[in-house]
Amino acid sequence: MLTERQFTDAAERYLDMVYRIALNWFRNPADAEDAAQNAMLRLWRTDTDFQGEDHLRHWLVRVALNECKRMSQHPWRKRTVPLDQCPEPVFSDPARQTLFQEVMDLPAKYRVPLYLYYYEGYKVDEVGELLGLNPSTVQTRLARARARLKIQLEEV
Amino acid sequence: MKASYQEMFDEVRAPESLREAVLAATKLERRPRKRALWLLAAAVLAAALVGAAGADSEGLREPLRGDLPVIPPVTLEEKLGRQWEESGGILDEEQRKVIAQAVQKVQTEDTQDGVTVTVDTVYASEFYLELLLYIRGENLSNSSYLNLESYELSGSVSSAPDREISHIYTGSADLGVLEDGTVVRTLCLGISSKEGLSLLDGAELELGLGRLKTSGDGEWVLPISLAPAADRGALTLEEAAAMGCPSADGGGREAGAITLRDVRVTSTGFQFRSDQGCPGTEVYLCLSNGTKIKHGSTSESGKSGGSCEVEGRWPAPAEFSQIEALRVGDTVIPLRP
Repeated sequence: MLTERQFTDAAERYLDMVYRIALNWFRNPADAEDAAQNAMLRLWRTDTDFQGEDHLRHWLVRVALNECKRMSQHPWRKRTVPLDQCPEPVFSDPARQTLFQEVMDLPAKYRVPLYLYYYEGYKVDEVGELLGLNPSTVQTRLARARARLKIQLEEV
Repeated sequence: MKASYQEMFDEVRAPESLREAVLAATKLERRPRKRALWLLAAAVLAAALVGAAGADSEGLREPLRGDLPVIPPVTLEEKLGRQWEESGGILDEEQRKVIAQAVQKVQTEDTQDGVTVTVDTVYASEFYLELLLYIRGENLSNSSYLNLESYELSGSVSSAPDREISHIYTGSADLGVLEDGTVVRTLCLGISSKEGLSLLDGAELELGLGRLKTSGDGEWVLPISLAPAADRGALTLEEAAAMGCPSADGGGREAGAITLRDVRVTSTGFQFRSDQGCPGTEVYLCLSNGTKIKHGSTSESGKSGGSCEVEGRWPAPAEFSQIEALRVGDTVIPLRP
């Protein structure tokens, strides 16, 4: 189990990452907050002995994804919130605001691998392992996400 | 594209409220470590000896389960009263009456897997519902941990029975354990403020609870009927200037004047809009007795330097006739002529 200090340090380092994963999954910030909070609660309660920082980070990514999947499957989570009712993060640059909107317009099956690959730096096979997908499927989804973003950004 | 994607997500941060909730997790119970049976037996014996020696007195005792303290019976009125005082209010007889009138008895329950969840009382503001729950069951004192993992509020308000509400917010806290092992929990659920629906109009709701991990997974369904609030008055202003509001959104705006539009204040909360970004400042309710009540919680949604909508609630209901002004930043904005 993590000590309180270790947990607090891990929360400072990784809460943003966990929240971003959940936001990419749900698009809805409220659901993303719920999932992120549940994932961090699992970290607080786990008996796992982490073998270094990479182990802890990878564990948290996996738990965050599992939590998102579990919440999605719950019968009361079948509701979606229109994008115009989701409060957006605030960006210092309007171009980033536009890019965020375009990314959130992508289907979740593209958003999540895109985030794990381009932001968290996982390789294709690692993304596949985390999401339970073949590497070729991950490649395809990344390519389609890039193509769609390119089209959408050119239209803006 | 990679660089711009990364730069964009660099600015997506977990909300402060989430950060606080996560850091507060260390106050919650953990799954107890496995221990040798003889140690457990010794702990039970020691607890029994302490009880038999007349350690009973007012206040807290050794917890019956996990890390939760044993507490005397608590009411939602008492909790709201404490919140009111902690936020700067005076809890006199009149304020107690206001709170008592606003709290509604519900007392519905559902039992699954030998665990009974009871919604005892609720307090409704326009967009939030605070509930006092009791959770009891034979296995609670021995359960590894107690975690309600999903809450869902559904139903409709009386003024729009054909429109389903959107549940957008959840927060919960365990207050403690009663003498008989019943867990006392508060739950706060919110609905979208953008749909023009108000819980103060009365509502027929259903609270769904899932994944209560005790002896098994169950799903509890609890109907809640909300009566319309007696006091649904609102004070409104089309426009007001507020000074001393730093930018809350990294937009680089210096602390200065911003214009608040569509200001609306009720006995339970407030709303306003700003076209100059979200004001990074506290909001206070100014009463005729001279007290200033700090907001209980707020929600901001908007764009950097652009339109921002702010809504929040007071820590407990206020007496509407005593509301004089709203303080935002350095400015006190009178609400009555």
